[in-house]
Amino acid sequence: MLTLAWAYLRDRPLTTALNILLLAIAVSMLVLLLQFGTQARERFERDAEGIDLVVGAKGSPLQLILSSVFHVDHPTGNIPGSSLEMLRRDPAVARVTPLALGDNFDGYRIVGTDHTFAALHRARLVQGQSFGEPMDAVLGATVAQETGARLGQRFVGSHGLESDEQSDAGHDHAPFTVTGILAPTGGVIDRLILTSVESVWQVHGIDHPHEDAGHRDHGAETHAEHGVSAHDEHGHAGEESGNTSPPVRHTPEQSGARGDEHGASERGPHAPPLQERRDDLEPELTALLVSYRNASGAIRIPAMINRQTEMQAAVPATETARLLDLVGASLDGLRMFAWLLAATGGLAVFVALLGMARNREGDLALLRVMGASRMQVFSAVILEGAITAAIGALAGWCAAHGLLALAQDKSATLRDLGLTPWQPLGGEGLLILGVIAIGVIAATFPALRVYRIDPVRTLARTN
Amino acid sequence: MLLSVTDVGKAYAGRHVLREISFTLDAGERALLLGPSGSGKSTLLNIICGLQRPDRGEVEIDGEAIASAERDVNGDDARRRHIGIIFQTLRLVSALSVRANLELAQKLQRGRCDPRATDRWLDRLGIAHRAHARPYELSHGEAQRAAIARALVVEPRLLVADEPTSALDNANTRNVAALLHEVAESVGAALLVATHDERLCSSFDRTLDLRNEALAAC
Repeated sequence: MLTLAWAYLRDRPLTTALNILLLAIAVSMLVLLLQFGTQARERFERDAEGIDLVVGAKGSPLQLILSSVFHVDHPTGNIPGSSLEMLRRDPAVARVTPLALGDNFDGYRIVGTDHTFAALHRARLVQGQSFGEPMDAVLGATVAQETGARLGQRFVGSHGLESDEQSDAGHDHAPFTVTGILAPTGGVIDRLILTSVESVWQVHGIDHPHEDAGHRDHGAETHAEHGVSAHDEHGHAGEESGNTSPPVRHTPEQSGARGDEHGASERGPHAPPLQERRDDLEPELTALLVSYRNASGAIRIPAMINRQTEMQAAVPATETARLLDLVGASLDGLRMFAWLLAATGGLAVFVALLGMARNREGDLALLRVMGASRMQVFSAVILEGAITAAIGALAGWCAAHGLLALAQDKSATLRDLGLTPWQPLGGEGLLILGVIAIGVIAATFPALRVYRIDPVRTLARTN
Repeated sequence: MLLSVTDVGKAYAGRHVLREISFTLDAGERALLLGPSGSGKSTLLNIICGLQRPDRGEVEIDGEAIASAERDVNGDDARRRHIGIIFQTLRLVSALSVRANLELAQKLQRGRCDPRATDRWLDRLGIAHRAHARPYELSHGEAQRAAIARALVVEPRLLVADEPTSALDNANTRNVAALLHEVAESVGAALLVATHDERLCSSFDRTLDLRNEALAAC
């Protein structure tokens, strides 16, 4: 009966192809929604694990979380370097990880931080050693794989957080040296380049005392006293979608009446080059990732930061939930549309099979005369519906994963989200079974019609 | 005795089409069921093949009831095992190739497919070169041979043909009749052909003349 069902499907290729196409579109939409929803949620949860609070410049808390935890958006601005020590002194705080963003290499973000960052993401070295000296860099697994960089290799970062941003703004004067490569974690760290905060400051023209990375916060005031090296002549022009200014601050006098945190990025095109003001820059950080020692911190610290400082505190869990709620509402609408599309596909299969049952009842009566049972002709029609739906579902599944791979290849945002294009999800199996069930249900009525065929009368009528 | 038809009667809406039909057919015997259109030939063939239940009487094939007025008989199994049918309109499954039609018949009637038997019958009926053609690509003669091959590939004990020569000229009628005799004889099958074409009488062992709802020896 399988051979016969397949032969009947091949006998009307256009109708079959259209039905398959309709179901495939529906399935690909459903798979894409499922993949995006599930992987994004898992990714968000994994990347935010262990981070209770993010402290950064005032602005959108969601943007702060996206840029500092998930590394998919521009930072809200910079915060004073001294804030790191302030939080470290708080008894309710177990760990504070500094972040200094602003540059990229080949589209991969260079993150100035300390050794707690790798620990936070449970990343371990597979080659070399962690950053110790200024301009040492440790590559995430994906960065190493995609760029082909090896230990000891030198590279130059570019200003901005994406490869196409200000591509002419390379920091040629301050190349990084790869000292270590991390093992894959499946998290955001795979796509990051880690270095010390001091290295980032140095790239952007702030000299610093030769302390190890874990103590760089003590040098915050000292940094301000050091000059800026000549590399900053490109000026770090501001960007439309957010701040990617290097983690340095102009003193109010030098930034003009604004006195804002985006001083460097919002200077006019005729502003004097930075190296002329080297004495007036003070080191800044982009954000701080905070883990509490105890629950009291969760109550007191965010309120304290939001009310008593010029910074903002954002809770990753809250912002992620808000983001997923926002996205989830849109996904639900799309999901409903996709299921409607699948139902339309089922209806098309129903119409096609009903027509087939009418046109081929002579054939089917003949099968009965040749010895086929009622159940056999019934199952032949059911199989047609099931095969159509199964091919549609598999084609849709392949199309969805292919599109995901293509989109990830073409879209920097999706690439930054780190979606795994060919990762099958348990829900996809259920989805495919659901679509096959639609095909079977659509075939049931035509199959019942065939089941009831009286072979003698039908053969006499169709002679 | 292979086939036994005993006192079979059938009426539609009170109108009798068959009355007290009785005859037997031995293994390898060739009989012609002759009668004009509407004489009940097809009804009698349907009853013999277990496709219709008679109002009275019984039909047995190889001692096994295939149709009975008195008791419920499922004729499907006996038909599968013993009978090959050639329809007036040939009735090949249009979605399948000639070869696939033969294979389907084997699967349905024997539960398995014997590729050698398929090849043998395709070759024997001279349509091996058309094995992969679809029914609508065949000439009438080729389609007729394909239908005969499908009926014989299951090696039936009784080959039943309903009006196999309708719309054929004299030469083709003779050819088809000769072919049916030859292939039936080659597998040792009895042959029962229903027709209104009296030209076939001479080539059969026996003619059963169906007139006025009853049989008369020809």
